[in-house]
Amino acid sequence: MTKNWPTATSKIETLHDRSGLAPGRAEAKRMKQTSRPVIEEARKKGARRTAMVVGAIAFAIFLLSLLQGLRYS
Amino acid sequence: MAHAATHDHHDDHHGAPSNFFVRWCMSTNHKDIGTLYLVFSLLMFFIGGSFAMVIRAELFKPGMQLVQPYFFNEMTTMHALVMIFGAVMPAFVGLGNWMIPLMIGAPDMALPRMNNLSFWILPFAFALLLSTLFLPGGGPAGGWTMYPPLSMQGESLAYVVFAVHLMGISSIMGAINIIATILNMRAPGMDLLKMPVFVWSWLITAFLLIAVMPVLAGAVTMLLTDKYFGTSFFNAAGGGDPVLFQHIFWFFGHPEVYIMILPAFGLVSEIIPTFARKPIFGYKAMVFAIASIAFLSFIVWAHHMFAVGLPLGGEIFFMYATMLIAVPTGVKVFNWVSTMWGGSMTFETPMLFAIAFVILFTIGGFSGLMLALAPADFQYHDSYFVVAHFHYVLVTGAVFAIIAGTYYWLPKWTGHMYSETWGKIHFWNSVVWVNVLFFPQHFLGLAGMPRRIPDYNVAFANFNMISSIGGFLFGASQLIFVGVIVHAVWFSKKKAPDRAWEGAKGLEWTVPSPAPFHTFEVPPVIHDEELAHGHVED
Repeated sequence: MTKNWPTATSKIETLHDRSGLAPGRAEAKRMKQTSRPVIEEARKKGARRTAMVVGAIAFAIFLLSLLQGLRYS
Repeated sequence: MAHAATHDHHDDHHGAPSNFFVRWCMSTNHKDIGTLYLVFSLLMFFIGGSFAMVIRAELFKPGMQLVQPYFFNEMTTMHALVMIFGAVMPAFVGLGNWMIPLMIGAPDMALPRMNNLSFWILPFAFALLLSTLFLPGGGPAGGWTMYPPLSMQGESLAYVVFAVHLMGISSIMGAINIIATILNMRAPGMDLLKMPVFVWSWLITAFLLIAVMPVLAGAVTMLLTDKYFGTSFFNAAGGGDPVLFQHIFWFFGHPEVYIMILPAFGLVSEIIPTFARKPIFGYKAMVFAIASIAFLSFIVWAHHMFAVGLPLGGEIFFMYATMLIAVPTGVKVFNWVSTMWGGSMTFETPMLFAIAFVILFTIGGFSGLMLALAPADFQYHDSYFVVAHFHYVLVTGAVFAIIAGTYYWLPKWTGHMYSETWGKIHFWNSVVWVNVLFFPQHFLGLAGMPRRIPDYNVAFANFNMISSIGGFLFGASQLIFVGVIVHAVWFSKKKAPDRAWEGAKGLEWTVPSPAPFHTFEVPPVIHDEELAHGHVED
């Protein structure tokens, strides 16, 4: 079986997990168990946070390359 | 099934604005922005290609024929800048924009408005760059590497630096968007190790872009302040060091090469399993090989500078580190061949281009290994051997993969099958003429012909003439590609089924053809047997 890596929605799925269902039915019902607005909100929040972190890293690298220039010239 | 989630959108333009300006200039739809990127890159491919035709026309015979030496240098510089930043990179961003949300079951990119901005920066950046050709002092002529002090000559530097900054901002925003999309927008159940290899290759490429584009921005900013604000970062007279620029530039430049080839690896890893009708051989090995290549790309930059006078320890380190890249690359080539081994193969146009990619990219890889040897590189350095090497990697590698991907997904984009006959005519013309164009350049380089010169010794005349003939015919062959696309979009009568290729797997083939304007508004349920690489075992 594949290892379950966390996704933006896996937390929500866990909250709504109905472990009493047979595996096939549980999978078929999975989408109905997660409401769309909840998924969308989680995605939006996650995307914003990721963008901020990655953008900050890019800006830091830009500053670091200038610092390298200052240091070695 | 994922299919069920999209059945209520059979009208392919449902939800698309009818106003042309609103739809294309203010679009936040990943498919439309993907189309814009692809059209832009095709345009740039022909502009950059026309510069290459000028170069090959001048080199057709020894002696000065058509252009002045300074203009020749402008052509070599602009050809590289346009092809790298205008054609190859935007083409992959376009393919990523179109396909990543479809492949991971996301309704769109994570940051759609930023997506629009990243595209629309590009036409302005290239208008600025190309406008320098019409300036009184001419355009940049110091090579795409912009080494000082050569690049400081002329008055176009400020324009070029500003254009490079704009391209960099566009690439960084695109990379942020792709990372945010892949990490946050996957359909429930689409775990990281269930993602298609193309998506993996783009995720890793996006991290490379984040890591190195700001370094290029830093390098060109220092160039700018050296020229206009009296600093001496790279000016030896003021205590600076021109070699420092080369280190900073190649710390960007080498990963940049992988930025242009890793998505190509991903594309070929989608196409070969489809037409071999087998899951990809060694899915996890393919993913880890891409990650290893990306990591190694950060510790090999000085192999571009063996002739600059590095300490012996440095030469040895960079030589061995570079040779190490052959290991994960070899894993990938082995796995592509193993995927084909024993498969029920058919040879439609995307598969033909993918097979040509595997063979010809490997030739480029081998010549790269030759160049990695520090003692040998002293002979090859700055010769046509280098030109042959990187064109095998970038033309028969990256460009062939882009063409293969376009043929592969064209039915999904347009809803029509392209003409297979004309696709094959395009393939055979491309594969023959590209070798006539670039293979003789190995011999020219080994015989001692330097690169970036408009005139040469008569001893090099024959191979140059052959190479130029190959160049003209390869360039002309690409007009067939445009014809095939135009035919598929507007004139083809043959409707494409949802799953355009019998052996195709993946979520993108579960939506109708052409892909509706909005897809996966309801996240699809992922079934392992639907994935391109089949079941992933621990």
